[in-house]
Amino acid sequence: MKTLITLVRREAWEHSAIWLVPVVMSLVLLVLAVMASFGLIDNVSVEVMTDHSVDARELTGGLAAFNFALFGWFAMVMSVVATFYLLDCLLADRKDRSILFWKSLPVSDLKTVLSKLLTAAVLIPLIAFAVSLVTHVLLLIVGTIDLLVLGASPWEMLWAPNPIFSTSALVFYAMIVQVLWYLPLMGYLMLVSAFAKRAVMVWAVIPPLVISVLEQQLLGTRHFATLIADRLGGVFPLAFDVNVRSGNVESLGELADKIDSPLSEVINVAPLLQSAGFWLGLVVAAGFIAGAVYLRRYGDDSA
Amino acid sequence: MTQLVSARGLTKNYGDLKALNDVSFDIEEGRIVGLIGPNGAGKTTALKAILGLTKFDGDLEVMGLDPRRQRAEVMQHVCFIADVAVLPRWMRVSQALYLVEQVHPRFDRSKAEEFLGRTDVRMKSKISSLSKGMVTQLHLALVMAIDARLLVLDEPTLGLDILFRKEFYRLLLNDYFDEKRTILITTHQVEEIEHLLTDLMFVNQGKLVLNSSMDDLAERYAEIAVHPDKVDELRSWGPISEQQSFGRTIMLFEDKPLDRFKGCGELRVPSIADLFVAKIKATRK
Repeated sequence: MKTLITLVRREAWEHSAIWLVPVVMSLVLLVLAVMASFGLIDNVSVEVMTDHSVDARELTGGLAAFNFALFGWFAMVMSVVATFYLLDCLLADRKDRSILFWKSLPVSDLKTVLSKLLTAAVLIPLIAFAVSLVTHVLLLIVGTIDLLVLGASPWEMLWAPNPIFSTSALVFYAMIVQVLWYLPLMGYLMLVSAFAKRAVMVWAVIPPLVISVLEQQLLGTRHFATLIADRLGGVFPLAFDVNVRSGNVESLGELADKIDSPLSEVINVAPLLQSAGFWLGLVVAAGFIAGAVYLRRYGDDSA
Repeated sequence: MTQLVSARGLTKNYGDLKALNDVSFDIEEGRIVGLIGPNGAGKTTALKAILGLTKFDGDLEVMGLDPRRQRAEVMQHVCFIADVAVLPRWMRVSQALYLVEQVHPRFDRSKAEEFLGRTDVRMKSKISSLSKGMVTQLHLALVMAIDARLLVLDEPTLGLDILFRKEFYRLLLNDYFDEKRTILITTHQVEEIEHLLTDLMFVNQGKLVLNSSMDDLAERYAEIAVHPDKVDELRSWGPISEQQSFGRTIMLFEDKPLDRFKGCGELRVPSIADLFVAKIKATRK
């Protein structure tokens, strides 16, 4: 366990984008918020917030939407970071020729590969979650100062109606199921990273592309392409309550009602656990990861 | 004597090329073994097999373990410095120490720090900012602080200047080596390690062409600067090599009773380099 944690730490040292990117993104958002406070940017939100005709439910809904959007941005950017990390993680030390140094340590190749998987599947999502939460709180503080300057009540406008705990819990749940859903993709990227000597991106794209085209040409069907698209599309339709996923939340007030309802009414894990795709995905992921371990162990076998 | 490494019928093919062809040898504890051979002879393949970095046929035991299946366990007792095993350039010296300390149960951080204190390597330095000599010093500091039983060195001083090379071997011999430790070393710069070896192995074209202790070497091999009138007689005894040097004929004999050469010329123990050239040429014939 101690070894695994050390190895994950090493990944964060080597691939500093893992934490630099979200921190820079957070700073940019904060700078933009401060500029908006000084009127350097058209500031719609402050006008809305000081407009007393807005009702409390809509305020809650608006803040929930804002919370989701903020998490969403971080999730999107960090997915890109994770993709590039995974493609590089088993290639980097073969490229810079330090692989034999790593192999001279008493660490099994299984542990090495697992540490890289943990980095992508646990560390990166946790950093994304934590930084976006901290950014949220810092933005609230900027907003509080704005409202105080305008003579409005920050408590009534920003803090009391803010469903930050509910939204964070929902996001955390979404993050876990999304990571589990994406595990086969992560495993695939690691396998490519362990296999390719260069041009990982090309190696990652070519096989699914070739299979899709061949299937369409030979059989006239598009099962494989659909499978990939469904997997990329994400897990939310399977993991959340029917009403939320059908997208029929029409007003901010309604969103607020959803957020305020018990989590069990919004979250529904049963369809996910009952779907064959979810479990098959985990099996496929295990296969890809086993392949990556094998290549790490016996690959690069040059004289 | 404890057998540290035991190889029987080690074979490894890369396509048609036989990198190792039925090689058998033993390495005992407390020895310094030189593994010498031309490029592509199979040295690195043999080391890779011992370190569990490659698949092979035959039997190989390293401290009673099979490096194919138990690589991580083997590496608890084996250290490894290779010209090609460069330290990761993005890493800081302090991070390297932290990392090895965390993952290696037999690493003594204070030893490494004490050693580095005698060099110009600074804790905060990035490895990419160090000279090649300093990186080797850092690697040596990491390795010397590990209580390992077998140290494998593959061209450890390649590309270093003479000062670093001398210092490297001096430290290895004075501060590291003792009767509990074993060193297996390959290098092209044979002259520099000649005096520190206890055992010698030559490989050529995947075959072991010589495997001897240095003590036996003096008894088995004789180099003689032959008197001009004895040249024909000695040639008929079958030297493994003959060459002209400053107008004299130098012959190298294998497994001949030394007293036969009395009165035939100046007798001495051949240098490893000369012996190497003679043996390699002999196997190519």
